[in-house]
Amino acid sequence: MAELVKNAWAGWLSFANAGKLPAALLISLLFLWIYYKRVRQKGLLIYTTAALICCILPVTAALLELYQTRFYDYKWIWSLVPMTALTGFAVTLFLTDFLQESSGGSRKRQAAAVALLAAGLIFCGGMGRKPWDGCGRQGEVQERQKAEMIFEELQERLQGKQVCLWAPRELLEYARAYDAGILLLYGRDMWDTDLTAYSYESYPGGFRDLYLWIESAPGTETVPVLYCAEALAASEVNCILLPGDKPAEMIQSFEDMLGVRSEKLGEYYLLIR
Amino acid sequence: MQKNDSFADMMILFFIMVIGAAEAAHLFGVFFHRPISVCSMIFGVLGVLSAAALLCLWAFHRSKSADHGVDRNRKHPYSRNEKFLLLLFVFLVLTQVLFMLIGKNVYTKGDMTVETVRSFLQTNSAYQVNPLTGQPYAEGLPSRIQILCLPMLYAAVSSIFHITPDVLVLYVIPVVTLLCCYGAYGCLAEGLFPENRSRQLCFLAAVAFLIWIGSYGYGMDGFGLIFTGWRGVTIRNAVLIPYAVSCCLRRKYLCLLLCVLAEACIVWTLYGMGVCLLTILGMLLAGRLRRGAGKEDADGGAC
Repeated sequence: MAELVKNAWAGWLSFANAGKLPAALLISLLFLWIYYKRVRQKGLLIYTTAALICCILPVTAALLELYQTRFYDYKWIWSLVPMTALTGFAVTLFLTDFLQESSGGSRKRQAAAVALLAAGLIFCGGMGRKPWDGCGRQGEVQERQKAEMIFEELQERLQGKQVCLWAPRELLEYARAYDAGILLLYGRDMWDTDLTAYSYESYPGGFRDLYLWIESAPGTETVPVLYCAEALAASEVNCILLPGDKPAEMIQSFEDMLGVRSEKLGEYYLLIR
Repeated sequence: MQKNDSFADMMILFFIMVIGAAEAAHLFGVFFHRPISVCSMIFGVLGVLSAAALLCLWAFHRSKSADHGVDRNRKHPYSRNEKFLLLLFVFLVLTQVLFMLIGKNVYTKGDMTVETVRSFLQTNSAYQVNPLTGQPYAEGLPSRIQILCLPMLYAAVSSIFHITPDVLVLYVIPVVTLLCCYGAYGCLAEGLFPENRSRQLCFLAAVAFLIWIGSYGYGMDGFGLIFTGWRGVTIRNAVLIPYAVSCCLRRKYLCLLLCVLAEACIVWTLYGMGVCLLTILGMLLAGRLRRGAGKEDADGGAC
């Protein structure tokens, strides 16, 4: 429990540091509580304040995390706080009640206040920016298109035969979304750990070694190439794409073990069994 | 359905009923091992029946309201301010839709919906193979995940309308979710500012602006709507919760139950009963506390 409480507090700090909407919500709440008498839907205000406090205080936040299950992380307990609704409510009251009165009916003053408010919200942080790592990275669309062209080529070459593929991550990432007929030794859950929560499945240790080998930069492989070649020979994989920058002797090891010749396909070596 | 239900109410109710239809078809498929083609047919029939029932009820209530001369929109034409706010709102929504359709901005980390839908259609069955590899399950998957109906809903829509799963899931569904989200916020605007169209439009424009602003970070409503609109958590946070809050304010208690059930069909909530239930209880409790303090408003929302 102590660990959970600690995580909850760290979660709040990170949530508040990274976001401008929590700040906007706090300002909105302050505004609504100051003008409490004018707020007609006080229930929403009271509920939002209580939910906000529960999400910030470590003990209640930890309890909420338990309630929502560990399938979701800290930020999802904020689903309980109607952040957009309450901020929108406060903005509406500010514009339609407070601003009209305080500006003395002057349109110019009103427009200036609205512009300042909008600018504050827009320029405090990015707008429509993608702040994540991994998926959604720059060039993902091109990467997806390149992968799809390779899958098309493979299907043409195998002429209707079932494809069981082993390839680098940048291809495997899109294989099953492109065609569910393509089988894989391991899927995206090998590197996207969030996906492991969707099933009880786990991969044999050997598959992890295959993944580490193919993703290693040339010359930094810690897993022996012969081990990988043997593992593949024993598997049902019939289509292998190796990165073009792997040394020729490594490709040779695969060719010898699998008894097939490799050929170039784009920037990859293709081996079909 | 009640006499004072708006078009937005009808839209959200239809959305919830479609989720219910998908859940029924999905459970039938999973527990009786029926093919996806049969489940799609069942889903289609239930969906059409739901739409027909809602349309009949809506038309009935409309005609009754017209008989009594209750048509607020005809009574009050739009003022200049209202026209401006409406235009601003429509402009913001259109830019969001365009951004989603043209920008190819999707966030698929931690999500395998497209793979799952493709696997369903490829094997013509639910959860027979691991969507990430295509290999049969060795250990299986949690039963609470097995009963979530969104993959079945998307698979059925994909097969009925012949839309490829990736286009449907990554582009079409997020737009539908976004529109339903504004439907839900439209209902909330009615609850917050009853009989005040100018404020309702101002609220909707502010919400549309906040959705844009919220697109900066994972976990925000805006981010969910713009980058991951097909996910269950996005539908819950952007459609079901605002609608549930609006129902609390407008005392539509039957719809509250529908929101809780819809969440259970689309989001993993193993130990708890979901966020909708907690929100509803919180709203009702806050309303009761306020009334207990003897401060009920004259216009009288439940909360």
